Amino acid sequence: MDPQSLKILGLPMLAWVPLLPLIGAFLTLTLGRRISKRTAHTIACGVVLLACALSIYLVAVPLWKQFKAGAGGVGIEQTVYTWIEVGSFKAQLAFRLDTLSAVMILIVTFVGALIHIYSVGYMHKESDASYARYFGYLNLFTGSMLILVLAANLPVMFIGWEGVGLCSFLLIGFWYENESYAYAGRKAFIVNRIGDFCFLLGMFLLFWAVKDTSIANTARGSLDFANLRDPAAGPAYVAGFWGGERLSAAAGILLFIGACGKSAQLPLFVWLPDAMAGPTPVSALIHAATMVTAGVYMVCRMSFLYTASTTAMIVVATIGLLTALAAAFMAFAQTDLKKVLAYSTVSQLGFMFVAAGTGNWVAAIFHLGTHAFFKACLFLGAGSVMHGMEHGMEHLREHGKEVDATSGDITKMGGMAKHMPITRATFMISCLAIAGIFPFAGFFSKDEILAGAWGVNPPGWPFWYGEVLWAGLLLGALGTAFYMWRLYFLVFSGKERSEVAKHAHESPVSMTMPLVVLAFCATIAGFIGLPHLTGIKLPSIMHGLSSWLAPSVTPNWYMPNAAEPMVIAGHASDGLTFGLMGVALLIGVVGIGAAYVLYGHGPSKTVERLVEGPLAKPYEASKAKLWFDEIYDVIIVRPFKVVARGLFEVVDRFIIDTVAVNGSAFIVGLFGRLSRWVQNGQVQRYLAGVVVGAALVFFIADCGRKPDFTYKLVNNEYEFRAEAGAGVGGANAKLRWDLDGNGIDDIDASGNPLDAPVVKIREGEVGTYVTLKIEDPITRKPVTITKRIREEVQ
Amino acid sequence: MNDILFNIGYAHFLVLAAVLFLIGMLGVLIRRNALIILMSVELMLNAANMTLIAFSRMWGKSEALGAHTFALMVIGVAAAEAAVGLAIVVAVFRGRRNVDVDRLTTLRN
Repeated sequence: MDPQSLKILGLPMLAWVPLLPLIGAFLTLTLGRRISKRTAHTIACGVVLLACALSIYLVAVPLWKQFKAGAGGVGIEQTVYTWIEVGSFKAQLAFRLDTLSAVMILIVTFVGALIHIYSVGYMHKESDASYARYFGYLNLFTGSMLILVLAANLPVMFIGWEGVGLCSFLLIGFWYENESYAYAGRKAFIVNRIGDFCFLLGMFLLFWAVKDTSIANTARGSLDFANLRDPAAGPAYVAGFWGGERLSAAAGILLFIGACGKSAQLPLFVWLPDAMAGPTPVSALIHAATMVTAGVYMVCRMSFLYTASTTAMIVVATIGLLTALAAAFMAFAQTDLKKVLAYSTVSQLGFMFVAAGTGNWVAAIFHLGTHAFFKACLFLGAGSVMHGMEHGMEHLREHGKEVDATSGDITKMGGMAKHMPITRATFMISCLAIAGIFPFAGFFSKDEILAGAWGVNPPGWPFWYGEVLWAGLLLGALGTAFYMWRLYFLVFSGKERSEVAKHAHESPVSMTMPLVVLAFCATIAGFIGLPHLTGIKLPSIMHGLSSWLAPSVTPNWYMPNAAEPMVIAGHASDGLTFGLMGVALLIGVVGIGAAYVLYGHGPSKTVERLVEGPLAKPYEASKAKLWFDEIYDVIIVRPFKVVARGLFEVVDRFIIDTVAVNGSAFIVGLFGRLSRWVQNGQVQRYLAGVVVGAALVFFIADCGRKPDFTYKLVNNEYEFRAEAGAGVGGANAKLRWDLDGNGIDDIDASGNPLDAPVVKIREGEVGTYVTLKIEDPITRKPVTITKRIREEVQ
Repeated sequence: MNDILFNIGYAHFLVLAAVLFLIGMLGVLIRRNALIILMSVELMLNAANMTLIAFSRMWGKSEALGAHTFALMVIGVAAAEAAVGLAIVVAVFRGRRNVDVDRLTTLRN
């Protein structure tokens, strides 16, 4: 089947996938308060479900055929139109569905649809207008995210990249009446700008690198992924750039900084915990399951670039590891339900980047997918808990009792298990998954990352670095298991620690249904990515993900001069595989056990003793989030504000306001006053103008006409021409020449004084200086002009 | 000094003409009495006539009388103009009992 024939209403089918949610966004945002809540959420959920159905069709039928034909990496490419064409740069609005983007659109539309449905229950208390606004933004986000993942080239990906950033900003600040929420939105936006700026630079650098290669100016456009991964572009990536380092290192790191912003990695992660100001479904969809994974997706998408630079890879892996550890550490002491989950997300994204940084693309996408399920489930579960808590608060208010807790404070919860059984069950499954307990999804995906890190040894890395990454991740996994189960025990176990928690109750079915579906996915999703074993034969579906993704990612390090391609992922023996699995599982169990001992029935005495005694300092550091916000405030925000203040005073207040605006007004006013004096209706005044003007004209005309003479050499004869200016009476002036430079006025052949306006003399006879005397016929004043004609006669 | 005072040349005529023209111009620009403005215009016309004659003597051949003819022509036109102008001034004076140009604003706007 020809991919180009896949069309609906004349538009390429791939374009419809993002277009459907965008249409929904347009409808809900423009109609707004004129439509009922029912209409709003019917439109919003409908378009996402349609997009989901279309995605499933596209992946299951045409892409499956391509995959079977061995063209899974080519997939389906469809172009809507040429967007930009300037000089040698060309960008098309083109979409690309290969096996990599297929995984992403399935996750985005499926999880997105579930969260849309969940929002129907969660947001029902909003007013009509903001309800429609909420669903409009959510649809806009889904559309942008689909553009991002379906993009066939970097510029289109950047549209989606910015689009999701905008929606993130809009939704974090959804309750913008609250000053601190609006501030959180701005913070997210600004931090992301820093990353996006580097992303753009990376894009420009790539364009610059490949613009002269054979892949430039093809029908596809300049920065098309299919072009960029072409072997012909390879030499451009390994070309020396800065200090002999490969160009791909610079481009890769710049793009990765963009990913750091979007995916909340060190040092740009600070916005994500604050982003929890948005409604909880938003946190689940945007700040856990989809948008924040865009960076991971981008790195995998650009795998051909990263494999050309082990420097860029080590940067990615190291930043990922540091983020995983730092965020896990910060999660220990958080007391806000969503904050814990936020740090957990940052930490898990770090895991994914380690996978990407070790070239373990499949594991990165695998963990991305399983994380989307269990983290969305956790967030939605948290939303459900908070919803229940709010119900408790309302109940207390109705009965005139004191409200003794906020909705997200886990120190005031406890014992929720009996109030919210479904939420508790799904939350528990997700906690098992994220802690990496067999057989839940997180076990397999995390294990893939750990196993991939163990033994990775690309050229240029220290040979032990893979093991360091492995050990670091193991520590991170231990932390994850501990803080997630601390959260679980604090929320669901023990006795209620507030009146509010006692009156919490289970959420409506529109909220619990997505929870159940996601928990189900979090249970089984791991079985598509089992490790390859030599001793035991598994059905091929069990490691279907790696064979599915393989055509879309680069399996080898880019070694232009190597005789054989150098494969990234080495095959570990079965024993090693099981050994690593066992260690990871053990670590997970240890983490959960520690959490149970300390928090199993609410915070134990031991916790208090530790926090006040030996662990006081680390506890404080964790609670203060390692003082990142404070450090940024001192070294970036405040100096920046000072500079901004100075610029405001100098540029805005002085240059623009005073000089430019008031100054030009003053000058116009000045001319106004002047012309008011002139334009008074009296002929005499106008006449004075005429006189002054005429005088000026005469003066200027006269200025250029000084008495002078010119000369030129014609046929060995000098020809002198007097230019008696008007100032000396013009043509009637009396002229005297001294051509031979002897100081006496010359005479002509007949003895009369030489007084013609044009005189000639042979070249040899002319003096060094020639003098012309002009006598004014009216004033009889002589004017003398002397010019040096030639060098001293030899 | 004596040379400038007694050896009369073209320059003297031209300077005199310039001075007369300036007096006339200032009169037109400054005075408010329509009668005096008319007289000042006459003065400027005659200054112009004087330069015409002076330049004619300076550059033309001595028997050429083009500039003289032109000057006579100007005198004739000036007489006609003075007649019309004075008639208007008299008419205005009859109607309004004054000929101050600043106050003759009936046609403004």
